[in-house]
Amino acid sequence: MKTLQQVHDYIIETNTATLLAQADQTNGAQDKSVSIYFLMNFTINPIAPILQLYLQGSELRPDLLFGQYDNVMQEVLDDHSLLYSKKMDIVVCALWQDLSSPALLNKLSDTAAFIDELKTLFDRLQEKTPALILINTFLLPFWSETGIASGQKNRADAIRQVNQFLRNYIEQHAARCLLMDWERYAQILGEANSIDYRYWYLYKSPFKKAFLSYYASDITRVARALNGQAKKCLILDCDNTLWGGIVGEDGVSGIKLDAHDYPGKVFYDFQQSVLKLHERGVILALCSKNNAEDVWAVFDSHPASLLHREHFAIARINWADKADNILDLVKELNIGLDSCVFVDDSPTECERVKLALPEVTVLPVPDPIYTYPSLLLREGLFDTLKVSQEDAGRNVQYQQEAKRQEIFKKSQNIEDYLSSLGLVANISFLQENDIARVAQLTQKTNQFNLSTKRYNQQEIADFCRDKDKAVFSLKVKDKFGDYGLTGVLIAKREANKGVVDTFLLSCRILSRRLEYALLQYGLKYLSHIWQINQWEAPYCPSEKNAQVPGFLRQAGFEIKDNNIYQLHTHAWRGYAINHIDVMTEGFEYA
Amino acid sequence: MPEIRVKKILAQSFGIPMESINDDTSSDNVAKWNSLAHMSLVVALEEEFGVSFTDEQIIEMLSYPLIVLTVKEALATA
Repeated sequence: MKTLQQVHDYIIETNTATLLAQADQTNGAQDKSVSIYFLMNFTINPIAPILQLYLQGSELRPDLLFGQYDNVMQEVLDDHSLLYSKKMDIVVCALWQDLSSPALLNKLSDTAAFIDELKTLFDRLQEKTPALILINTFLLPFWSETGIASGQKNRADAIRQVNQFLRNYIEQHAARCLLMDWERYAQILGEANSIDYRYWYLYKSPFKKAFLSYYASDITRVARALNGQAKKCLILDCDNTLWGGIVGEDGVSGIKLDAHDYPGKVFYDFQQSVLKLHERGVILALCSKNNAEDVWAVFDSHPASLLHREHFAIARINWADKADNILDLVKELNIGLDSCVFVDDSPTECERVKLALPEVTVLPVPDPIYTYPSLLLREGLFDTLKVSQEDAGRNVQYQQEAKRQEIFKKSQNIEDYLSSLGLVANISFLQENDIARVAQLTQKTNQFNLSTKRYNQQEIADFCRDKDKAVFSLKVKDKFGDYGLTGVLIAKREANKGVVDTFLLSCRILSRRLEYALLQYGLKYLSHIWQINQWEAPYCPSEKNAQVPGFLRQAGFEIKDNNIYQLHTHAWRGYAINHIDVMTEGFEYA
Repeated sequence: MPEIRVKKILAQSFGIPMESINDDTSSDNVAKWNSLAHMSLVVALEEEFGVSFTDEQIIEMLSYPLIVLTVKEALATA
């Protein structure tokens, strides 16, 4: 896996012909493929090799298709167009407005009509494809046709108005549409590095390589998130990472952490971006060689510390090896090493963790330190397509988990422990307002996931409407707190058998036999209403879901062949789930 | 002498062996040499030689000998 910055730097310094030759090479067959369609009213095709390199760097196999030049609405409306020739994961609407004489905005009074036209286009597209839709803002003209005279409406005003509409539209349709902010690329790069006027006039191809690279980078972030590559946990060192200086030597009042003055403000701003990630549901962990009292004193009492004790789900503050500490906390959190990002200022510690745990993404504190506050935002490592309610409460859940672990250590055996939790499972037919969460779970869950099929919201909604398909959700709580919606079962009827399409549980609720409850209640009910007595569970092995076959065998499935597992309902035996108080919603369970 | 470097860029751009490129090589007989590929080719040549071609040069440089000529011209005036 390469960082986006590494790919960008490589693209900028490498000859375009070399990039083309490399993008053409076939990729590893094990990579997941991502299909992307470009609807375009200008020549965006030169983005192809650049986007291919980004996707390859993210271990995704690119499958790019370009629509016809300037035939956008026709393609969307025509059921037989290339756009609908196969399942697309992402549709990029690459729409350009001429900077000097915008065709659709010739008269400023046309703005409202243009907005209407865009709305119709996006609405139709949402109806006709389940793909994610990427919408760009339009570039503001770099020069004003009204000159310095004030009080006159000009094209920039009109474009601003259109862009505002686009931002609102995307916000209202956040489940399906994502923003590609061309305005920001131009802000970063400037006119000279963004626009090639010569190619605009010759070939209707206005963008320079750097601009295309930023665009491709954002498209790749969406593809990554769609394929469950979002990082979940941020592991932070303390001294010279969350504040300047060494708390053990300088004391709480002596460290550099300040809302106004340099260099303390750099660390303050970094804490701000960490806090934002916390609000998005990223798990925060501390891993520091320090005396624990000194570190907690900062979070408890330093007036400029935005981060407090309660923001951290877990901490390893001791003098032990950091790689060991990380292994230990990852085990306790029950997450994969590859979903962790580690930030430390010490090159030695960074190197140690990189070597011992290559799956962990290691980010050293940059030198000079000015670029530090945006470090975590640049790479988009924690990107998810949508932030759900469960995300926002995640750290609290991990703190509850720590309490459970304490009980577990005191319990005599697993049965006692499970019974003492007071588990309540709510199994229901999927409710409308849970669709986003279920789609997100299919995109993010890797370990306990039968098929690792990734679905977007539209596809989940379609399943719910199909009478030959059923989607069950599992919501879990216990006496320590609420886990929220953490399990999904998608089943379909095929002739006279049932097929388990998707069966997944969030890793946070494993080892409680909840998977048995979900399977038993879901399949038994469907067996009854669909009048079937045989089930198949096609297991798709991935790098991470090796625990699934063991579960299937435990649950009474027998392997047929080619990873197809079979279950006869007459051979059904009840599972040991008496410790769970199961409630059903939307269906009767006999 | 820019000839070898031009051949390398042409080979990479169109996925053809360098040895196959000669004075007859042009957009008429290289399958991948369409207008999109030509755009990338021109950018690649500009990056390789640190020059900038005019619109007229871009439209004319549609064969190996013409490209070599144009590159030399651009290098001389750079």
